Amino acid sequence: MTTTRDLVLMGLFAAVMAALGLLPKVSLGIGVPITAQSMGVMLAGAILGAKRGAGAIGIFVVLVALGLPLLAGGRGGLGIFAGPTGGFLVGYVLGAYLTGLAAEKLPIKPDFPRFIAASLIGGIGGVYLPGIPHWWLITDSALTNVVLMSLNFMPGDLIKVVLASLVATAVYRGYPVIRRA
Amino acid sequence: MTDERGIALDGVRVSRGERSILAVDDLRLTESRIGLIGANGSGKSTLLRCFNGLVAPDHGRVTVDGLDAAKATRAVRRKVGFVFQDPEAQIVMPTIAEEMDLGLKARKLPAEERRRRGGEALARFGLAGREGDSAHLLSGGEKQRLALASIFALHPDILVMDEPTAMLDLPGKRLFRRLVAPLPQRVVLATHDLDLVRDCERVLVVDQGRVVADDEPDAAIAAYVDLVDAYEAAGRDSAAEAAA
Amino acid sequence: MIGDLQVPGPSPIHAVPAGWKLLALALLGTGTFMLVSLPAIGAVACVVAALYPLGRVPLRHVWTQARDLAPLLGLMAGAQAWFDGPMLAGITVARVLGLVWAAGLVTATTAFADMMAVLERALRPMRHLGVAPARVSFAMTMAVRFIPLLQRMMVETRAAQGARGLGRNPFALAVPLIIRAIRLADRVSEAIEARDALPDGDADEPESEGARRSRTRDDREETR
Repeated sequence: MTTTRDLVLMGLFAAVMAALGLLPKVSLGIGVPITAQSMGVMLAGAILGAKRGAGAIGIFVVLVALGLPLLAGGRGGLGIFAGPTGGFLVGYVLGAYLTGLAAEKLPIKPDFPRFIAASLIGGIGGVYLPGIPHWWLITDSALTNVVLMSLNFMPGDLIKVVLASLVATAVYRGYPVIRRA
Repeated sequence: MTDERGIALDGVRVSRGERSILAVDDLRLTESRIGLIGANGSGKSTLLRCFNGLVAPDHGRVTVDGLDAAKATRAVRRKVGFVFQDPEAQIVMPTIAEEMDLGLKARKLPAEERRRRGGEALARFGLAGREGDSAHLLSGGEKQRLALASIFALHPDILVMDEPTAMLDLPGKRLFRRLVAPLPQRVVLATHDLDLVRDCERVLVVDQGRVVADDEPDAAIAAYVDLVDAYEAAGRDSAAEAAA
Repeated sequence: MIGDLQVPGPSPIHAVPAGWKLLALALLGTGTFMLVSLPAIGAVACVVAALYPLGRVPLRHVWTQARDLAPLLGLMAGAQAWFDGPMLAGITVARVLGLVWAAGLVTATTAFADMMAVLERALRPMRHLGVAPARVSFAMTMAVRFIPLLQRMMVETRAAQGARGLGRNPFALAVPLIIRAIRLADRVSEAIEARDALPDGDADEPESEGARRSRTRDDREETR
């Protein structure tokens, strides 16, 4: 049953995602610079759990599609979905869901390592799963090329996994929102 | 029948684990303006939340105009409007019109009726004609007035308020007082604002989950001041005591 | 919201209902995959770009969208030109640009409220799948209300942390913001419950649930 609190957490965390878009990109030297916002996907799952995390990111992605400039850099609208990276936005929702599922169910007791594992599964696995095929279809180029291109994102993604896990662990210590079975 | 009117607490106990948060045995609130004063952590917020079923007691019963707050919670929430301390937390829609419409739609009122009640309530609280305005851009005081308007439009019988002016500036507090004074509903409010307290007919002092004084405003305030002095003299403040 | 994506009307394209524009976009999307000649797809892309002035959208937007895509698209096109020849690479570029421009035009000429209305209509049949459209709409509208507030909170957090030399530290910025947001969520939920304002969902919601939960709200843990 979806409670009032569930709905409010979803709506508010969607707004948190939008706020994370205000943070400046961080260049790493190698690979594409990372945005704090993409961390939000893993945070949503780890902190709110699978259902609410996916709900929050789902709300965010739909609002972007409906035309709000919520992505880092004030971007948004249907154009994003039409481009090569559009699948990754859909992947955000799956990523949040899988991160949450893994964070709830993985038999790793201490928070930080459990969040690392969950973020790898959800934040990378979940996000790339719709991301790669969409990119491949839209640009109609060889799958190997697409995969090679995505490697550009890897260094950033791994840093995000660590950062998101640190943030989630700290938030959990301050204010656990879900209880593990 | 007249017996049933008012808020009644019988043998109410609320605990969290080992700690007792609230213990009120026999309370009948029927007056038109009632104040609750007490330190932070005294239990007055919990007591207020018993009045609309936000908190269900572990023991005992809370009845509001004859309705059991734990069993008929929805009916009680329609009868009791609740105004909270944080203006930001009470406004959940992007525009004033949507905010006013939210509760009215939940009551399944037709569009014409919603518009009429909404306009009426906004006018009463100094927000007439601002339906299209963005809620985010309102000042704290305006947000509190919008919260009050949206609750007022639902025509509650009783208004309960938890430190409604705590986050307002002095002009905001004064305006709030002026707007609450003529309201036809029975009003129960918890506050640190002594001007608001003096507007009440009956004032209860809450300390460590119990009602320790129950009198007209000046006497109750004096009792509260004595209490704070006593804690200070004993080298503790009552909030720290309650949290222990 | 700063930097709105919509451009004010009126224009012939603004006047087209949102649903039709979305349908046209979907058709264009599938259509361009069926076209196999560079001139044809190139022409489609140019036509789309030419529609911008008709929608009173500055052509500058055509340029910025292309520019934003340039790094990624350039890389892909380069690789494709190497492996499959310049013709196919050209088709890819033209198709992606055409679709992105078309999608951008729809966003620029369609009010957010109209898009929302289309979404709500589309969600209505979903109630048979256990989705409550009124609640989805509620959560989305709530998000819209709270976005400016949370953005402001982020600015405040940056200023506060900046004073301690932590203004660029994502950890120091994200943790306080999220904790504040969750605390706010508790207060917001309480206010909504008190007002009994939640739109209809499941028919049989026990209300003592709310009371019980609110009593334990400070426990900060949710039982599943």
